[in-house]
Amino acid sequence: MSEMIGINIAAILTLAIYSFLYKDNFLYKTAEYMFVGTSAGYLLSVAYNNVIFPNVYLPLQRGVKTGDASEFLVLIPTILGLMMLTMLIPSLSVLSRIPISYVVGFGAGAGAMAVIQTDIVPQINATIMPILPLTFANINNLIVVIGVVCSLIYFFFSTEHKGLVFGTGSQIGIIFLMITFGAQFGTTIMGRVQLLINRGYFLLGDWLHLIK
Amino acid sequence: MGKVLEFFKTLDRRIIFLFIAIAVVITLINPMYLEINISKNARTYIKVLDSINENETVIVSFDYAASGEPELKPMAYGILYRLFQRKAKVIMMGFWDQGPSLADNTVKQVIERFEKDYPDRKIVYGKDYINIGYKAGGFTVIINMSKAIKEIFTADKDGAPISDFEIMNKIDKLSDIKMVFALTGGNNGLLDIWLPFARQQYGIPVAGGCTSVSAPQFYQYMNSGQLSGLLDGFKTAAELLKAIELPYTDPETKKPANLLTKEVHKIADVQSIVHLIIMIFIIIGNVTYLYEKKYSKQQ
Repeated sequence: MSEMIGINIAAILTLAIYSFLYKDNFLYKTAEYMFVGTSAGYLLSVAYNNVIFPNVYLPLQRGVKTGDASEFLVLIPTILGLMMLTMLIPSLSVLSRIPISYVVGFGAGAGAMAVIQTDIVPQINATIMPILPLTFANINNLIVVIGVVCSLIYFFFSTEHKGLVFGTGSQIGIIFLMITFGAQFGTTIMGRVQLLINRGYFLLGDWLHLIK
Repeated sequence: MGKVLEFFKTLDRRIIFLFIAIAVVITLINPMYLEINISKNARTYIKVLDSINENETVIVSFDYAASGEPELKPMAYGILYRLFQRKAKVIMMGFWDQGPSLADNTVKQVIERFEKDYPDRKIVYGKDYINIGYKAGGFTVIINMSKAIKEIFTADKDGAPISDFEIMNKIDKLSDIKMVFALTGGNNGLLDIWLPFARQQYGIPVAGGCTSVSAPQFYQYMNSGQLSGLLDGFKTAAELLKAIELPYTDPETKKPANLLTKEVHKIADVQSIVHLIIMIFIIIGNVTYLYEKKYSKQQ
């Protein structure tokens, strides 16, 4: 019975959201606000149960019980976290810069190496490929090399895009970029259509029982 | 000609929506079961899954929410089923809060199917698989996992102490993990956590799965060999399911049965038909544009 009620509510909310495709309306707005509200509430409970309760409340409780001073170290990140909220109070907002600078500094320090190891060195390495003799595999490599070089030329704005290297190079770069955007557009449609089909399957199958 | 041009130029977008909706409804109710060919990506993925041996431990990370489930659940289903076939030990976790709950639903369905297909085998929680839940913190979690997994994940998803489970006996650090399968619905997952840290910094092989929207971002990591395998959207997920053979023969086709269910096949059909319709509208739009250009020059 409760499952049936759940399916009916989900179906009505799905149709309410899709009603936006016709035009903006009250039903859509109601479903949208419900979604935003429940998401915010859910995330708050997740943050409390997964972060604040195990990482702040429990260590402090243990510290009070056992008298172990190390358990109170969690107060440092907790205070730093609370200082983030001073952003909401203009007279105290300067305090929020301390935790933000800590987060940015740590992120940059830890992330810099990761970016070099993930996106720079291996990607440059993957572009240095044999192009001779002209076998099918090497022709493929040649296309990759031309694509990378010409696309980079297109984004090189310090010189006017004229002549064989910069003029023709940037024109070829545009072709490669357009092919990339086309592929991106295609995969975006594929993803969105998949969401639509999933909802369609739910409405026709679980709700209306039309799918055998 | 002018009237036709005007009609297509001012075509209400709702007509396109209507066509797509009709296509979805008709194809779902009357599926055609079009042929699904197994692509190179899906074949590579099967090889990657088959490189996992008995009793080796892997992580399957569910880094997605309900919106990513239509594409990523079939992948998770296929991966988990194959890993159970390989008798591997599976640790499920997630960097997205909804991930571990979705993992629970998926693994439940996989086990139900698996135990039906292999009546002599029982998949036991804590021995064959475990769900260690969601952990906030992104890449800092990986850095800590490289030192001591049990210190950062002290309990499983339901709060039971992680050390009590047999599956965790031989697992101390990330280096004890044979491979990571990261299914990602956007940021905070494969691209910014598992690949740069687990793969590049700690040398753990990573195979991925992503939604088709984000797929183009990942191809470069396949080409460079940083990703061991990639499932790029629902299409390759369906191919993976088709590539996984079951321990019996299909009574209809007299061929080895596979994991591709009628439900997934129907959805693949709808994908094909809807794409066809969108392609037709794209061609109409482009032809209209070119005609308009030619027409306005003639005027």
